[in-house]
Amino acid sequence: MTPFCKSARAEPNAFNTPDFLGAICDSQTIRRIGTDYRASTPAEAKASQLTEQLEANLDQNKDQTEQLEAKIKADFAAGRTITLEGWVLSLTEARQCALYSIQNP
Amino acid sequence: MHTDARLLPDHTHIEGDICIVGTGPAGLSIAMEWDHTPYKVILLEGGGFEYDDQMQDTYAGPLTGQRYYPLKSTRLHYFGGTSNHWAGFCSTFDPMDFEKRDWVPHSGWPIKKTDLDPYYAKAQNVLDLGPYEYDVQYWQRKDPTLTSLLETDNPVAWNKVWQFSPPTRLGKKYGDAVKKSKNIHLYTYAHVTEINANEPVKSIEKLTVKNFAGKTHTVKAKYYILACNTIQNARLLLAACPQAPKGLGNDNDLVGRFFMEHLEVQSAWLHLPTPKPLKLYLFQGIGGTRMRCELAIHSDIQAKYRMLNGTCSFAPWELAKGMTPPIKMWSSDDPRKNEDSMKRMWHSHEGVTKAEGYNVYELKTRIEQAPNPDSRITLTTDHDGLGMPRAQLNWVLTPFEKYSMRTLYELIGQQVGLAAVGRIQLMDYLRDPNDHSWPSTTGGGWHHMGTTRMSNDPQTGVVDSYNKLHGVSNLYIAGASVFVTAAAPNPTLTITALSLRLSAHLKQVIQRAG
Repeated sequence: MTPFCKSARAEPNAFNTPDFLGAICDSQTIRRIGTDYRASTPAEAKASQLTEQLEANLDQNKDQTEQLEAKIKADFAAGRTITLEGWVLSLTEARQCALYSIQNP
Repeated sequence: MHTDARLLPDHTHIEGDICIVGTGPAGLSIAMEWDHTPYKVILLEGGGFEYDDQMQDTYAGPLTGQRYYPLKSTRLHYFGGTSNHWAGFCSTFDPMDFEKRDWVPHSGWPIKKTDLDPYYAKAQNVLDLGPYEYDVQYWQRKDPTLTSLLETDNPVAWNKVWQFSPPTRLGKKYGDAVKKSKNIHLYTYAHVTEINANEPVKSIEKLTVKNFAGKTHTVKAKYYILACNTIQNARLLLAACPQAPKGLGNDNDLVGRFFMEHLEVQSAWLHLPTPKPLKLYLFQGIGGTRMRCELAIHSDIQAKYRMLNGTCSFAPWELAKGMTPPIKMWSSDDPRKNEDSMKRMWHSHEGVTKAEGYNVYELKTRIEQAPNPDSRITLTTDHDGLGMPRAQLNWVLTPFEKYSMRTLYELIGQQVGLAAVGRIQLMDYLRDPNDHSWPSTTGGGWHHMGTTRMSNDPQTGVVDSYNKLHGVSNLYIAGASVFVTAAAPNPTLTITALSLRLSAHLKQVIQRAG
């Protein structure tokens, strides 16, 4: 199993790095989740579309990782979850996985 | 006192005030309530004091529908009944389990949880449990290391407490007391084959009992209690009364219907970023009581999602993986072989739990089956060795159970995610909401319920709120067959509580009758 944190080919950033999920599953799983998300949500199949969704409502002057963590929490609180490869995930972290799967094929 | 009915002269006539049929948790808990009273109690057991394969074979019968365990091996036909091989899991039903839920067809008991509370408290002693405390905070005060996975006031999920009986083998616990009793007359090898009613079937006049020694006897009492297992209670009503060819108490075609089980299936994993011991969810001994919690869903959330009531239990994946599902393990007609296989498997997977805990836990569902008239017991044309038609089980599950299981884990997954303690991963068979099939691992908890359900309306139930058979003045039914819904917990504690309640009621009835 390749630990997620050491697997990235693309430069890791807040958008393509689902921190919490990366601490509990490997890069292959993240990639499969991301691929599954893109297949189930064709409107967000491209990196630009995913980035746009992830950036929405973020304050560019504040820490993006912290803001994305808050977004993930808000997703869970509001029931904005999606089940991919059996994982019950927040929509935001599913998008992070999707971006990861594009940038780290 | 005790008499082996095989040794009595043929056609012996036995008489008493009350006749209890069956010596499992229902029958024995009722009988012991009548010890040292002025009433003569006839306690009938079809088998003896030990396993007897010839008697056990009277429980055999064919299966249709959802794959199930061989009927011959799910119940035990000797003194103490199925308490001779139960595992001891106990918890109370929730208040909501007794209520009418508009999203659960045929739900709603004629009694409330508060009606049972005093008897639950008493049943704790019968089953050698701890204090009548099922609030997690009570146990956390005893052991502050029993921390909850989620906040205790989580609005979606809560910690439902289970207590564990040693497990009490009721035959061993009460055998000597019964034999020494001056007013409880136990007859072993007295298997009821006929229930004789008056015309036009308003009261029971006598029972016929038989054994493989070729003896036939009759039993006459003022009041009768069928306290057999769920299948046998229905079978007796359907088959044993010559005056009611369509079945005793079966004017509305309800006897045998609504057979329910608990679905007990491995369903998901909990993944944690760092190991946690999750002590609260594993077996703990506290002050002489073994307990643990399972995660359950609050009643208002169940209503919102229109789901069934269920819980999830936790097992370290490192220890649980590779375990054979019970439905594959419990495959023999001989219950002793099945029990040995189960024990061998458990022992082979036993390990000392790590103090620091684990990263991954397997989550197993325990969920009620929705009451379903098509899930039922019927009679076959084949007869057992004592001349009774055999029972056939058609166990039927629906997409409702699977939807509820999936929703259970999606809701827990949301809360675990919100609390940032981990993530939930569903097993393959639960992932597609449009897939209504059941995996080969699907099994029950060996918990048979329904078939003579309780309702104050004879159109919708077989017994009334005090377990009396509708339309018959002196016949009561005890056991899980009277359950209207199955709830999540293992049934023995509720069987015992309902039996003690019936016993208290019958004391009032018999006293009033003078």
